[in-house]
Amino acid sequence: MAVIDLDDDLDILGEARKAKDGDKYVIPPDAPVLPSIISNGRDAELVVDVDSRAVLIFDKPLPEPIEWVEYDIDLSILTFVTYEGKVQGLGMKVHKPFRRYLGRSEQILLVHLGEDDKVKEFYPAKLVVRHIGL
Amino acid sequence: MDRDAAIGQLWQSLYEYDYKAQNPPTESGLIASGKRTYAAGAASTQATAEIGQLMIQVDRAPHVKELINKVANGSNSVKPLADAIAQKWKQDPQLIQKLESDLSNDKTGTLQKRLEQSLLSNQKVGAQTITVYDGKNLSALLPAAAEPKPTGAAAPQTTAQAASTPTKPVSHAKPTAQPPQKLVEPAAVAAAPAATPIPTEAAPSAPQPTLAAGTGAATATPAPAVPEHAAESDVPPPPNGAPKIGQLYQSAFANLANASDAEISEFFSGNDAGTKVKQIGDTIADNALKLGVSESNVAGFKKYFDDPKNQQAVIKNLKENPKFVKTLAEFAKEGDGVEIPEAFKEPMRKEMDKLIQNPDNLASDKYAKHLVGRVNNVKLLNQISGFAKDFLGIDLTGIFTKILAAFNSPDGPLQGFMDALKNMGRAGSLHLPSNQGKNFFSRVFDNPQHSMYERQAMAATPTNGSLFHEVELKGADGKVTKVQRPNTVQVQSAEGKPVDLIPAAGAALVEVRGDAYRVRVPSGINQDGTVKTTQDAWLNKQGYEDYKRAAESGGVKMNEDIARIDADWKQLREQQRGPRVYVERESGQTTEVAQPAAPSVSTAEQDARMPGKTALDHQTSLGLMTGPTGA
Repeated sequence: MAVIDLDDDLDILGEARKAKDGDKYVIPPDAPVLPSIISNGRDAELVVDVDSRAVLIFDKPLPEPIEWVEYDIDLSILTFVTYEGKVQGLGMKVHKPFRRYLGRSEQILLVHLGEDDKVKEFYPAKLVVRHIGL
Repeated sequence: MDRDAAIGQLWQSLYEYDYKAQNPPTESGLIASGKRTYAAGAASTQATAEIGQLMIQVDRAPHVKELINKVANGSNSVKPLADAIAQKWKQDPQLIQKLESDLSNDKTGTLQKRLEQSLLSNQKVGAQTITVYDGKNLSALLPAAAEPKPTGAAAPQTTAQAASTPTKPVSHAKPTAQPPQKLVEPAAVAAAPAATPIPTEAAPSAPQPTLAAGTGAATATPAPAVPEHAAESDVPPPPNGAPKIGQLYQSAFANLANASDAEISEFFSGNDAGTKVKQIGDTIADNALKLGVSESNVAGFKKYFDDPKNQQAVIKNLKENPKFVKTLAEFAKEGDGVEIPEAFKEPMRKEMDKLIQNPDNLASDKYAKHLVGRVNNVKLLNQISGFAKDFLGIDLTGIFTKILAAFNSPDGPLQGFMDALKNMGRAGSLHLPSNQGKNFFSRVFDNPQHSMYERQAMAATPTNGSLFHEVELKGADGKVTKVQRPNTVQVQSAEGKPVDLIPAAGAALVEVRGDAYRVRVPSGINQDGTVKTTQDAWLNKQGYEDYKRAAESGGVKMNEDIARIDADWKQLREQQRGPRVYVERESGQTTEVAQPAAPSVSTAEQDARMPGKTALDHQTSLGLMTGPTGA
């Protein structure tokens, strides 16, 4: 029985797909999505302790102040929502070990640590935990 | 005269009253002059705060407000009335409410008309009604409404005589004791009938004037003197000049920070709501300039409030969002000499910049809620201000204390969180760093005794006139490069080995164990001698004395008050720490770093180690400033 090499088959949609592959997705300037927190050279560390106290420390100011944070347990992501209504991801997967502790947190303390080790700004943001069970 | 001018005169009366109440010295001389200037400055500040309260009270008293407006419209000056209100209001802060109650209870309106006529026909005489008013006797004090204007008849004449008698201000025996009550003195009212008792607060037992209502029998009216214009010459002008009308409105507006929702709604009702909103705009604009917002943007912002349509939109929003008004009122208060912590100036300026560029926000319900939320967050931070000051080197007191007063919720959910934050991670913590080398958590939360204050208090002491020396380094390729290295002094470590340390004014002795001395010294400095990083070194007695001599060569003594830092350090040492688990950001792989963890330390620090110290000792000796702790 002859083996058909599907890759050699006619690819009538290929051109359109190739064109799409070449496109680079760029967030439009007016989109309500901000680049993730760990982008543009900004580093961050998420810490949660056994008593579910959570802190996010970052070393460059955020573009907009954060009003609340959403922790999606199903998707293992943290999403930050600004007062302007824009959203900003953390940029790191919040791995499973965090679930037990972060899932019980009620707020995250956001700490902007300057290069000189001075804490430039810090404020708490409410944490909303979502777990649909996907 | 218009409303603003009347408010100005009311402020002047309060200022004069407050100045005299301080009983400043009258003699000549530099010291006395200085005291007078101080008293004038204090009186000016106090009067501005008081006018705000008074304006709010009058605003809530429509009958009193109408009365004052009518008297102002029908006169070139309301100074006698202002003096009387200021004096009486200082004695009885409920004056306006009582007056309003009396006037509003009189459904026929004749009482108000009689008072109005009395003030318009002879303001000095009419104003005395206010001075002797006790909250119940208004009708008895007033002549009948239907009476024609006084035409020099005997009755009012007597009172007028008394009132117009120059009333010399009395020098008060005790500062602020009860000065205004002594404004009336028998000698000062010589023109009053000799048999007439003079009702004053200072002499409450004196019989009150009893007038037959409607008789206009002012012959029986005592002559309660109000401060006369002649007295003003004793009061110097305020050191920084009288406040502008905008500042007076600002004071009134700032008082809304503690007002009820209903009071706020009332404040923005009525014909003058547009004026008030415009004044709010000016207040915000002034504060924006102070925070560094561009002048052209501020000018555009102010222009927005010229349009009545915009005014109405803002009024509607403010009435619907009383918390927003309170937030803005707090901003208005902040202009009053409160120093904003440096760390919060930039966020505040950004916030203000947004508002200035989008004045429509003041008419936006969404923005109102946004700002309230933002300030509420800031308020909650205030609850940890003590912690922040000691631990992180940020002083949050001042501005946030004020905000907290307005949005007081001591049982907020964050309270427990913040109280416990000092022990954050002590019983174990999970870390997800984007860059493991940066050790943010350690830099913020480890080792509280490495406070910013200590580091800021240090400055390298020059050795042989300079802070640095050049060192030639030979690379692997044989190339020689010159680098600058901080000058150091060589002293003996606790183990007797030589160790090089940067001498610094403000370096601290943080622990003594027998003959071993732990000192906190710079480990890195900037070109100007300020300290980048610190380290702790253990020295023997000779080493410590040598270091101290070098550090103090600039004339600044070392900090040898170790009690507080030592106590903190011991507490930290004795605490049992849980594990620190680091999660690799891509793979999710976990690495447990047991506490205490051995830090990576420099050779110099290893040499400086106290013999027999534990790994925890070393970790706490690095802490906040000195980099990785083995994460």
